[in-house]
Amino acid sequence: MKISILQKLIIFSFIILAGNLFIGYTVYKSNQKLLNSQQWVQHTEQVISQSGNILLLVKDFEIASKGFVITNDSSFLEPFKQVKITFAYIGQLRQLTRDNPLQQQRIDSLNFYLHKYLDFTSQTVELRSKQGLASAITHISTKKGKQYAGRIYQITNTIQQEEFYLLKQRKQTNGRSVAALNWVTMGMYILMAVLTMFLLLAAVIFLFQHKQKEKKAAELIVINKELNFQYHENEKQDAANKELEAFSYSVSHDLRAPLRHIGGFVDLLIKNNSTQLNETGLRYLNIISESSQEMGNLIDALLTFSRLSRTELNRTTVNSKGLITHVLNTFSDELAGRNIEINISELPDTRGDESLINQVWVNLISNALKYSRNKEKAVIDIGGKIEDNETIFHIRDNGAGFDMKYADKLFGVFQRLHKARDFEGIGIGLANVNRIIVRHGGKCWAEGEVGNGAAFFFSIPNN
Amino acid sequence: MIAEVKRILIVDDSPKDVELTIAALGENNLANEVIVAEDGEEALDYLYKRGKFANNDGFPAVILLDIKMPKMNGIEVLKHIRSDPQFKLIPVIMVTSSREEKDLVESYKLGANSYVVKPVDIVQFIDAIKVLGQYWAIINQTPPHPGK
Repeated sequence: MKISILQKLIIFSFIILAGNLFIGYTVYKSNQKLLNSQQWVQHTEQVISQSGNILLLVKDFEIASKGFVITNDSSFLEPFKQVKITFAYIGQLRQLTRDNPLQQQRIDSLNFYLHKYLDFTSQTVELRSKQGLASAITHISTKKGKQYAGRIYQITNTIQQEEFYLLKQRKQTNGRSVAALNWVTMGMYILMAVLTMFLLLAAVIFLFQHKQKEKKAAELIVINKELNFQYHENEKQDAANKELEAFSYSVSHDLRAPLRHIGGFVDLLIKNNSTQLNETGLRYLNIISESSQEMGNLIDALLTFSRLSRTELNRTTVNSKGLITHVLNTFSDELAGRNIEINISELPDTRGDESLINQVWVNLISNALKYSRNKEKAVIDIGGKIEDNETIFHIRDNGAGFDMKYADKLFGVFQRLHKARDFEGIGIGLANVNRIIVRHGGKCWAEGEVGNGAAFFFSIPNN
Repeated sequence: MIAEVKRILIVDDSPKDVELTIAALGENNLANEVIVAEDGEEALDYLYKRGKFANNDGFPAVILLDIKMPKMNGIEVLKHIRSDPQFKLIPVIMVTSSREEKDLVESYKLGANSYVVKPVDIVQFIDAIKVLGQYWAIINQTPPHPGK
């Protein structure tokens, strides 16, 4: 199946549309990932900051209890108001790490040790206020408080380390997928750019072809009009031909009848009454008889000529060599008594009406024989060659020739360039040749020189 | 030499042509048995024994038929002759001044036995008629006539 350029354009457009949608999707995805990473960073920061806050508060508690133990000044106990906040922080931490069971465990133990530590500090504070410095120091000396605080530091640190580690991992994973997405996006961009270029190219070609088509369509319309015109012209031509046919029919019958009577009765007069006429009278009658015959010949020639314009061409492949050989054979009587050299060179076949082409060669060969008869040795060359889209034939003799300044008269009806006294004829042969060749779509022309022979050419289109 | 002179029907509207034809036939001593019809209708009148030919007592051995005539032309006369079983075997020679191929073709299609173009040269014409007259009136055996 052949895909038209317009279909290609549409397919291309859809591919590019799909590609662009995909690019949009990947860009969206990659943005999502980046956003996700940022959220994770924020999350980690929150965890770290919360746990840091808890540590700071624990430190505050330590300083507060130590200050109170040393001074027994209750104003040192101020930070303990923050205990609630500390547990609120733990609650928030728990919230932040709710998807991580390990961290939850750690927060539980953080919570546990915080409680222990606060209990211990409460005991220290109570001992100091009720039993005095020494018992408080003794209590502190158990190092339990320090132990708990150490655990708290340790756990907090672990929680923070874990978050850092997770953050690093997430960043790495995200980074990889973002990079991959970037590659895909870039690839798609390039692909889309190439496809868009193709689309543009195809569109340009399409527009160009469309223009060509429009031009062709316009040309077709013109051709159609011409054909239409031609058709009407042909109809007119047909009508004219019919009229001409009726005219020639009439000429053939009506013009010949009185002529026949003149000739006929003059001949009867000569035949039956010659003894009653003197020599001059008899000569006149003979002239009348000859003239009527001559006129009969002219009428016949005209009728033949007009018939050549009317009869339909029956085109076949004409074997030129065979045809010319045949025509030459019909002149064998004339050839027999003369010194003639006939050279036939290459003779390509042609397409035409065989009987009409035959007539062309009969006329041309008979002319060549006629006008070369006064030469001691007549030389006649016949040949043909295929040119671009036509075949050109020629016949050349070394006879009487003609004056080139009258060349345009050669092919006219009843036009003669020689006196009837020198060469008989009525001047219809070449007119017939020309008519036949023109009807075949070809041309006739001639070259010659007085006393140095003549050459006649005619062309026949190959198609 | 002439065993039996047979009747010749000349159908021609031109008295001059008729005279020339008769002169030509006279050269062959055939002129005594010539009947002239001046147009196609008269020719049929002669064959069907009507009008001025009501007293006609026989059939022509050969018909010399011109083509271009007023009223009914030679081609139409030929059509009539060839469509009637009584006459369809009578030899018909078209003698005409027309060299038109379509006349010739149509004449032969309709069953003309011969087609001769009237020559302008009387000597030729006499020769032509001589040959025709001898062939059709003397040599050629006319087909047996159903009416006889």
